[in-house]
Amino acid sequence: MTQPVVTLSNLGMTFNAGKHNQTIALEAIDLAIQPGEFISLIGPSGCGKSTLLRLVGDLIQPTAGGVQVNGKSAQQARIDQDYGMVFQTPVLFEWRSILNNVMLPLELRGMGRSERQKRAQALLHLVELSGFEHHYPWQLSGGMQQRAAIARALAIQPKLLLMDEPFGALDEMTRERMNMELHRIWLETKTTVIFVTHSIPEAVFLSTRIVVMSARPGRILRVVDVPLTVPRGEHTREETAYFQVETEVREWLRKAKGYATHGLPE
Amino acid sequence: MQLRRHLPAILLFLAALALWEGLVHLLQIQRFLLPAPSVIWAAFIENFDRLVHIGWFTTRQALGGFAIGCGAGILAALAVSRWAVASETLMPFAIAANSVPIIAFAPIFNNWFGVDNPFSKMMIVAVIVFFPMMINTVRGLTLVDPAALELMRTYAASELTILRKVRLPNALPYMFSAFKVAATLSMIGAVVSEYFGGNRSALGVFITQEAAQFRFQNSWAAIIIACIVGISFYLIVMLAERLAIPWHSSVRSEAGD
Amino acid sequence: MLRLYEILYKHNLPIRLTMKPVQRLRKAVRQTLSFAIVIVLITLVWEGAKWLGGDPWRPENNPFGISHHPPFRWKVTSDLNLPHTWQILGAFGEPARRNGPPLIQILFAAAVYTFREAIVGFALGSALGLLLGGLLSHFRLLERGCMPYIVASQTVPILAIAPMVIIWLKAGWFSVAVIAAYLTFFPVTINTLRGLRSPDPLAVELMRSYAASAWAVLWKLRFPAALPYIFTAFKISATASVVGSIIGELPSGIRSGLGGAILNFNQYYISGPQRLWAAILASAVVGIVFYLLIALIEAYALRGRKALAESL
Repeated sequence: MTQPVVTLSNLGMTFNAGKHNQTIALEAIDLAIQPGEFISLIGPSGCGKSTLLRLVGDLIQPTAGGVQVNGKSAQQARIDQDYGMVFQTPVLFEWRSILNNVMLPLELRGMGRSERQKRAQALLHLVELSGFEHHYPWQLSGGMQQRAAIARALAIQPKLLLMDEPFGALDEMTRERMNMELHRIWLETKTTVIFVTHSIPEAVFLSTRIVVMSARPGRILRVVDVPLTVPRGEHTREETAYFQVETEVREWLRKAKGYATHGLPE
Repeated sequence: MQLRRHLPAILLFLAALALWEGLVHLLQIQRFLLPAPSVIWAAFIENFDRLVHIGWFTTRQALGGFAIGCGAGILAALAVSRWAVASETLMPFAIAANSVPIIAFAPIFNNWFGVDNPFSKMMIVAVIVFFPMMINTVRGLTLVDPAALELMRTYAASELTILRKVRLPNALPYMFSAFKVAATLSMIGAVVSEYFGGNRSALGVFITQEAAQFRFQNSWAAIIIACIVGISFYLIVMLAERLAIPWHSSVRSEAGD
Repeated sequence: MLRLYEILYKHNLPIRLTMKPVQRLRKAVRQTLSFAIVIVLITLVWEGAKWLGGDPWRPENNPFGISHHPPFRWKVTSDLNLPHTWQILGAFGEPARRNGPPLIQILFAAAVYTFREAIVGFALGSALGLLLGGLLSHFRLLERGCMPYIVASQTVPILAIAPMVIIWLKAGWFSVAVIAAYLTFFPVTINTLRGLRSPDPLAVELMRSYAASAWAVLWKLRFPAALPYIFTAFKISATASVVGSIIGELPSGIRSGLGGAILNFNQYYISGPQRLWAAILASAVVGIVFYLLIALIEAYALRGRKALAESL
């Protein structure tokens, strides 16, 4: 049994503890994520999905429980650059070319120029943006910018990829295409992915497991297995298992809204 | 509550004053180089009536110039922003004109309108203030969200209506930004333009004359008047801004600009 | 003519991604043409006003050799107050005093002298402003304490205390540069502060996810994000430096700069009004040249950015 990439033990997050605007964002989160998995976090708005992601990334510190990444504390994992992050917006630096943007994390690690360029160009090839190295972000479409952001996240060849609704701002067709791309990249790089989304079809298409969360205070309502064959493609959306998983997730999501008052089901 | 926030600043000011006074006495700095605050204060009290009189004279010039310059700037902006060709042609010129030291025209205006005539200084202030006002107002009138313009077009709104309901409100923050710049420039412009010659009852003339006779404490006292007027003017504009555009984020945020 | 108009103006560029070189050229030609048109218009209005209400036009004082008696008589448009445009331009070539060098030589030397004061002052003020802005953005407490002073410093009319500054420093042209520096540092400080604080919070989170050092965040994120703001301040400060230099020369008795030239030609206005106008024109040129210099550097520093591509 290999060591899990991410272990969340009784993780909890309370903002403004003790004050009048105290918010319990997350409560009693227990989860172990194995290497190579694709985990989606899905749930009603405000259920703490993004907070959970940021806790794993050590961008905020938990008020209860612990996070282990690659067998180390989240903070150490961040310092060692064990993960890459993709946000809702591409967050590319407008003054850098696409190539320079992808090279940013490598620059920060002190990698030599020719090595960075080679690595960055290979990554741009992976996300199918070859030829756009010297363009500037504003010259690319939203989908292309997000692909560049993914390339940047993969620059340091992390074992873990954290993605916070990266395709939320894109139109449906582009989104479906990006899902295919991400899937292909996941297969090629064999990275473990934690993916926050609002979209059930997206979660089902991409994941090996789906974590459905309750409304605030966020708890894990259900972890749904996604036994669809890999590699996935157009055909996947036609499989019966696809509809079954979608329906199961949808049912749990419906229940999720009621949990703040009704408590967990049997 | 407001006082508490400004307390460190006030304390620092008092400390600085004390230090100034102390250093002047300690190092025996000569009066004609750097008078001590106490000396300046004495000069201020002594000449108070005269200072108020000449201060008001110069302030009138500043206010007059502000009114003329801002008014003309706004009118010019309304005219220029109406036609895209006009704005494309004239804006670069206005920006270039803004980088010209207008104060250099002071002697010319003195010759045209008379050195003693406050109108000559008013015109300098007006020209100084005109370009930033025009540039900012044009920006405010034209940099409108295209979606808002499209909405108005679906209402078959006339250009005049669009101006009144969309462009002018949009322009207000830009205009207030220019008003604040104009407020500070007016007083300084009025005082400094008097350096090229002016009425004896003017602040700038008083400052240069007293300085020339090494009565620096009087110059400083006059400068204090100029500062007070300048700050008051700026604060009045800020107050007007708060009343006119309370909804704008720059007014809502703590560190307003 | 219509064809020319079509070529120059008929291309509305809504959401163009990049400007092809031919479009850039078109735009440059358009802008130069607009400037030329405005200059011509001003000249026409100028001479037009003199045609209507100036002093009589005699064959010897105009290049067209015509005689004209204006219908009105306005004081403002007399030859003394508003010399003919050709008289002003002609003055550049003539000597300012008997057997002296041509005016353009004198004015050029004066312009260089004043320009030096302005640039040195600008450099000092900008360096101070950048440093102060950087410090204030990093130390919140410092900002709270210092901000009121920094704002108040701008209400002190430095130009008003210029006489005293010049005497204290006893440093000739450098004292004037100090005045220019004082005028420069405030806009630069304020805008540097705003600019350093401007990045998208997500970008800051991104840098945190890279465990980037505070220095790396400053150098690779905040500073590049601040550049557009800083250049806006630079453009304002450039103008202020030139104004400050000209004014600063007045009480200091410096005769070698443009301020001195203006005072000089103002004193002898009656004997040659066009010379004063020429000196003012020279001042305008210095102001514009400095501004263009900054704009040029800005175009390089902000290359590739969207805002610049659109404004270009």
